[in-house]
Amino acid sequence: MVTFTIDKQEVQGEEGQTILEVAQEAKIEIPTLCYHKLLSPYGACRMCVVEVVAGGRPGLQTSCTYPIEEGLEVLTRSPAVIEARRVVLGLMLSRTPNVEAIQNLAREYGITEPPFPTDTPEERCILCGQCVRTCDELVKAHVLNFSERGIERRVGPPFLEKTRLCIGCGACSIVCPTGAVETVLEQDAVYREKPLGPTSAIWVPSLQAVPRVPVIDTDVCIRFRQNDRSAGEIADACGACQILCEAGAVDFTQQDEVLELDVGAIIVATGFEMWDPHKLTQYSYGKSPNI
Amino acid sequence: MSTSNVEQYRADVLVCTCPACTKTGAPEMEQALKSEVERRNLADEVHVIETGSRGFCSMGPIVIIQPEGILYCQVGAADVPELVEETLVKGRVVERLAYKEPETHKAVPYYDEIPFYGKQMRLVLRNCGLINPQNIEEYIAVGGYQALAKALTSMTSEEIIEEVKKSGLRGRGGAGFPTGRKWEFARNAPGDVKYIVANGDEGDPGAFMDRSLMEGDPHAILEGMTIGAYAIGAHEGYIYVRDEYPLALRNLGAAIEQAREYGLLGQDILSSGFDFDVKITRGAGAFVCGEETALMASIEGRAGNPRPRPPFPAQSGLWGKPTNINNAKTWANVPLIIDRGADWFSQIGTETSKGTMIFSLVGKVNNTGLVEVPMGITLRELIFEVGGGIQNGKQFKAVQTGGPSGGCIPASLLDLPVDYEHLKEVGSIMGSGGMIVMDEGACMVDVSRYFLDFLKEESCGKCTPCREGIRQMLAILTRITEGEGEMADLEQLETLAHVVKDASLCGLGQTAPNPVLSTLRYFRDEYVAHIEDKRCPAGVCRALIEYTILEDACTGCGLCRRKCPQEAISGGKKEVHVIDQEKCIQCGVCFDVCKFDAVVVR
Repeated sequence: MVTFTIDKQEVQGEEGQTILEVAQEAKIEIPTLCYHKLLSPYGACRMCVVEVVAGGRPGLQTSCTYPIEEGLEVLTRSPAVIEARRVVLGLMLSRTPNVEAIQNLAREYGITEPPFPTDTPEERCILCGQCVRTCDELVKAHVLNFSERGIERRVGPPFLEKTRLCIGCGACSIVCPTGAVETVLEQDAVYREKPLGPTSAIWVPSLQAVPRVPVIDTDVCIRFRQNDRSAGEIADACGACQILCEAGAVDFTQQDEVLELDVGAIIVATGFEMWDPHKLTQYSYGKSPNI
Repeated sequence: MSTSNVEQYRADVLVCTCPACTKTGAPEMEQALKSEVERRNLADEVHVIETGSRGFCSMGPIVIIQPEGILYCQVGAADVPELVEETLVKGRVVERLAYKEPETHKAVPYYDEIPFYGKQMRLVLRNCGLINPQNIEEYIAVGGYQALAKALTSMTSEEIIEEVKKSGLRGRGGAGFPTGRKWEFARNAPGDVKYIVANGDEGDPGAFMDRSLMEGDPHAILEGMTIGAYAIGAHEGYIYVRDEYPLALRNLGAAIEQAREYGLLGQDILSSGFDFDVKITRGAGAFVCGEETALMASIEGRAGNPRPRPPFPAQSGLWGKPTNINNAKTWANVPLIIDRGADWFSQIGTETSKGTMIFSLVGKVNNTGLVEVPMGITLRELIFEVGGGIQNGKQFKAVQTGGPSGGCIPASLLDLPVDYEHLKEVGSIMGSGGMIVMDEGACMVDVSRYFLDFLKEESCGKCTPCREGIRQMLAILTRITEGEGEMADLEQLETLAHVVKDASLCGLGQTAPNPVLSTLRYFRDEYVAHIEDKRCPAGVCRALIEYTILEDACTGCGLCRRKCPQEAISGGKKEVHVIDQEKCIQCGVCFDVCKFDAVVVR
């Protein structure tokens, strides 16, 4: 166990954890934009910066990447931290003035108007890289990446051209914090209709399901689709459900089974309605014992 | 490859083959030398040798004649017959080819007496311009690889690290982290696979220290790396060289091959049982790849984007393994320390900054070139004694140290001793050793704008403060230089500068605001003049200057009128000429050509 302090409060974590992970476990709030618990930390948005005032590397450091050290003293809302977040949010808002998520976060730090002129007000991407890391690390399709540098930096497939390597899973759209990624599905993309609208690949089919637990639709699930595509070479794509399930109940190796049951009677119950059987006098309900 | 024959000749004629001298005719001159030597049957007595740069770059092509120690400047093919006749045959000095002192115009033919060299302490650059870098035997003849032999046969890894720690050597790439401690972290990191890396990216525009070393004495770097690898426990090394240095790539490549042939690299080096080999990785044109984590990403074949530290490369570097990365100049210091000892090394320099530093002294000084001086020398000594003072008798205004992210230091601080701490205190950095001298003709607002523009282009764009912050600072500065600035802009500029400095992910963003912050600190009045008076005191910012012709000085020669690209000047023969301000684009040609100083800039 590693002991250190956050905002003068003693906290503990395991060797190898980051400041952010320990803070989140201790319910200490630190804003993030480019962080996702299932992805490797990136340190680009600078929202999660904290001030290291003793031990370690002094100054503003990104808590999502900084490995905890014994005796570290960290402040999450020092003047330097607040100023940094405020100014960076101002810069970000000036880049993407019409993104609600950024507007909201900026407002928390006192910014209601973009402080700088905007070149392209329709821009929604904040270059957080979540889509890139999702496609690379979880889906393992390796379709998305950054190209160009500086203010020309952008996200997209190679040469910004459509590629068959994209499996149309839509994971990039799901993780994007600003709604910058739009998944447009083409003809042979797999898409599943659901009565109540689209949902994830692991879902409880209906309220009447027996047993009433989630199942994986292997036609849609990224892991199964990647295994099909690569003849098993892409091992262990995604697996987010298994990582997140605290009961450890997800088993990807389950196969369909045919069960043979020995029963006395099969009742086909297509539905029911409560009704008083006394009314059907020909069946002597209430008069004969076994009815 | 020729065999060692450094003793057979009675004279060595050393010709610099660096890119600068090559551009000014060194190859033709060398050809002429060789032909003339042949023609006069001196080929057995006089040896013409190609060397790296001796640093006196404004005076190239340079020829040095040993053992006399004569240095000739700006030698052309046409000068060769006289040179051979007078110096090589008759043993006399050709005064017209010697260096002339700027004030007295006195000829100083002997290398040791030239002030440019007199104040220098050429240790790391000891062999540059002295040996043929493409011949390992010359390196060995001047004592090369002795340090490696000593390290491998009589020192343990711990002893080597202790010696480097004791010497006080600090990283010469810019950050100045104590090298011995850095090696120790890598040594102590768990794991069997470790790497060492030499940073030869040298992205600072105009910097050519690492280049001269890689071109002129590649073995010094290799030897240092091998010693370091042994100390740390690494068996593989990488030298990252920017692709814009073809001669450095060629000479390093040849040096590596020769070292392998001689058993000084590869398996079982000097029969010690220690294996170590080196690969060269070429850069692809990005300044940010000089940053250590971006450089490692580049070696791994990924885009050169930095990542936050910690974890530091010593814990997790190339492919996640402990890696020690040092600048090429730092590696070149190591053989000296092992050879002559930490005690000797720590006598040079100041309390906190030991050893020498190589600076590229450029800009408005008389003697531009590479200089190696002990840490602690003052800016005044560097610029006025070694540098020979300001060109054309102008006034010193500022010196920018450390590269494009360095701060600008004013005349009031000329007595500042140059070392890591002092430079930091005044708002600048040591960086890789850039030293750009500016005179009264430099506009400090424009200087900040110029470097921010460079940094904007080179930013990798990963983190918001650097990518967006630099862009916005540049926009503000541009408006100020165009006469559209307001006082509120200065406040916003400073706020941005501080956050970009504190919150950026890597050194590029963290140091980018230095030019702005230092010029605001020392030259604030210039900013105010641009904003409130809409005036550029130095006469640089086009939108704010006006060229006019002085009535009493103009002779009506008509030269300016003929040269003006906009036909903006009018006037008859022998009549006072006038500039039409509507048509004038402030190109400055009239100012340059007027022989009567009749054109003024306001």
